[in-house]
Amino acid sequence: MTAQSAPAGIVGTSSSTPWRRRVMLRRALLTLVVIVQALVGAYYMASVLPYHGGNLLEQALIGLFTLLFTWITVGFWIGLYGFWLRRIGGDPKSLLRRHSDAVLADTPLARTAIVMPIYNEPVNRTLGGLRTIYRSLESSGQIDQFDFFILSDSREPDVWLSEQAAWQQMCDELGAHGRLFYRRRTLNMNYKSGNVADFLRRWGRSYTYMAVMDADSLMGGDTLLKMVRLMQREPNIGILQSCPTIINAQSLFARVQQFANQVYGPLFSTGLAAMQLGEAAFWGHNAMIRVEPFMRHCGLPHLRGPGLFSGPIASHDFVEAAFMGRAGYEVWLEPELNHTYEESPPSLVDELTRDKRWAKGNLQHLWLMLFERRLRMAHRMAFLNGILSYVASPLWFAFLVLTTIETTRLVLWPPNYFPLQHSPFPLWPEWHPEWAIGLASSVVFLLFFPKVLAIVDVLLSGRRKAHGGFFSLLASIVTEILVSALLAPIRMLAHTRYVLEAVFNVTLTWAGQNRSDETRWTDALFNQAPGSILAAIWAGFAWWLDPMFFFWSLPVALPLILAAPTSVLLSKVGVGQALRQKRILLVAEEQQGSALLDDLNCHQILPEFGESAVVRAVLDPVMNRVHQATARSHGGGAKHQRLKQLRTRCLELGPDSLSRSEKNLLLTDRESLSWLHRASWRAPAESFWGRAIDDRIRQIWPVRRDN
Amino acid sequence: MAHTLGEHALARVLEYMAGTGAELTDAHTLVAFKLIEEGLQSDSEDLMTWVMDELPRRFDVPQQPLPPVAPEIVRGSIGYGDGA
Repeated sequence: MTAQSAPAGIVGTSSSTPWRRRVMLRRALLTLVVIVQALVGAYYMASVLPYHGGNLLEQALIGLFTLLFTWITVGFWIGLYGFWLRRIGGDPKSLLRRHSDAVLADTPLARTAIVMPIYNEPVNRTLGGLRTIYRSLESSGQIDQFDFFILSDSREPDVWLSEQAAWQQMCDELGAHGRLFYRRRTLNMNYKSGNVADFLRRWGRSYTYMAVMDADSLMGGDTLLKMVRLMQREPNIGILQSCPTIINAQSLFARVQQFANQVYGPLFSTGLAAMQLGEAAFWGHNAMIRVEPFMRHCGLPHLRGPGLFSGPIASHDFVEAAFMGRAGYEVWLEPELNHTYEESPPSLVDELTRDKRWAKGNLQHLWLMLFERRLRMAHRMAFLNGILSYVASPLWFAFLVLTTIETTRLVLWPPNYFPLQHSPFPLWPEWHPEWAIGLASSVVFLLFFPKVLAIVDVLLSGRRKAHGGFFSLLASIVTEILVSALLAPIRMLAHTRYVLEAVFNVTLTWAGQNRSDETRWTDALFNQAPGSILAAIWAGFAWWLDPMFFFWSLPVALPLILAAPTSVLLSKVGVGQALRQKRILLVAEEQQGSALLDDLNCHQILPEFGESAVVRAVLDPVMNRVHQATARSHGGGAKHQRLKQLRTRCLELGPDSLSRSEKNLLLTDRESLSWLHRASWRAPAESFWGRAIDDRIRQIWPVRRDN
Repeated sequence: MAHTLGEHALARVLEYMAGTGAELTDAHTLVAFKLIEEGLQSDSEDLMTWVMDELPRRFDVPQQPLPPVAPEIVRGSIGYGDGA
């Protein structure tokens, strides 16, 4: 089926032609202003350089500057256009303008699966979010149209056993038997997209739509209903992407991201959506997908190029949007859909760990951008946008290196008055500091003016109080700008490394991972030391070369030198909360409350329990039955013998005597679970399991412990 | 203070009953007492095994319905659109 023939059950159609003409016009104008601005920038850069681009080094500098200038120019105009659209009451071409609330409310729903793929995530927070979504939909009175799937790829036995325990607990608590399901893949293939594809192969045909959630996603029932109804009204739409707001931030780092997302985000998302309209990207979560065309057209092929461009596609979402577009379906980003949330990584280390994956995934898209057939140009540009998000960092790094070489050459080597062979005319190096200052100022303007507009937008749209009032807003913006300035060079250096690693298919061992909520000093010092040392050497060299160059280097060098304390400080929950007490970096949900957040934070699915999930799976009579229900029979043969050995060892020495893979094998075998349950309750009091049972008893009758 | 084997067995039986989701009453306690008394008087060398083997005959283990893990499978396939 193509987009031209509407599937059964769809209630309306809408002409897509008007938006195509409008979006072409918008993109043409954007391209024009960006090209003009980039040419002006290149001209001024050439004017600033002593030989005006008269040698290879300066030509490379002009080329790099123009690329980076173009990159920030695009962001500038998108922000500016977003501001304009918000001031006139929103994009007249947006999807939500097509149908009134009354029309949407009368639109029948269709069977929809809410799917949450997870991989070794914190169970209470992750499934707590799904529980909140469930309760929100239930309160809307439309829960009957929705099923929920927890799609686990978790490999840690304590994690996936806890997921199953939480799933059973949620089913009982919500009365969701037969509506909330659990599926764990024993073989993880093709990352998250493989997990979703596995769901689709088994149950996809039972649903018209699928809403994909991330582990930290939170969505209101009203928003999900509206998305389904919009899709029902618009049969050409294959994917409807909402624009999630960051919430629930605790650490200083997360609170800065949350504030920036809420203050600046609306401008950029409105501008971006207006430039994309029906050819938007899919962000992988908080989106509604039309299942039938997705299954038919969005299978991800293995790449067959060299090195990085071979094997499974690591970053699936942009590719799926492009394939949906190729099949004739539209992909929309709708920034005005509210009650759609996600969370920020709690620390810089967590963000950079995520960026490492994303950098590789986005770079892979280069192959698809260049060689995949019949993709829409807008989706090829979306690939380019994603690639440049990371490649901009090595470009900036290269620009700094070349600038240093240029300065060194000018200071240490005598001027070359005859750079052109056979020319009788000398070329005098010219230096115009006022032009350089003007050019630098224009870069600062492009970067910061959209932020000024965002503040004006907050004030004009009556959101000032949501951020604690005018002075709190001002203090918050100063804090955010300061933190952003400190983070930019650190991110640049890290992204440069990730891009090089991906391109050359190597792993440069330097920053270890710290997955704890707060970054420890030793980790931060060790991880950031290479960048800090490099920056210190660079700044020292700049000082020796020319004090002016030293001062020019400081905005980049100083944050890198301070990277370790910055990383530690930003990860602190205490600092984030202290600023919140002082009404700095406040956001709407903190000021005005949020029913979804209250529901999420006031409830814990699994209580804090002294024993591990593995011990609970063996001993707890109810949990043991639950795990047996999700397990399978491994049958006879060699594996059966292996299982017998493992269960005997587990009984005699406890689960810590088993490796992770041995536990995974044993605890997914129904017969072994039953055998271990039976045998452990019969174990002598002084054995591992006897002591584990005593520990359970002490938690119920703690007084006995004192006797 | 060290616990006797009988104490261990009694606590274990009551813990198991509670773990099944049963709301413990004095009647359950009496069942447990009786079980331990008989176990201690029996010739069994392994009190724990004897008691846990005997328990299901004296106590109806509640079998609360478990949620279905997954709906019935409706097989489908993933296609590669026009580009493959």
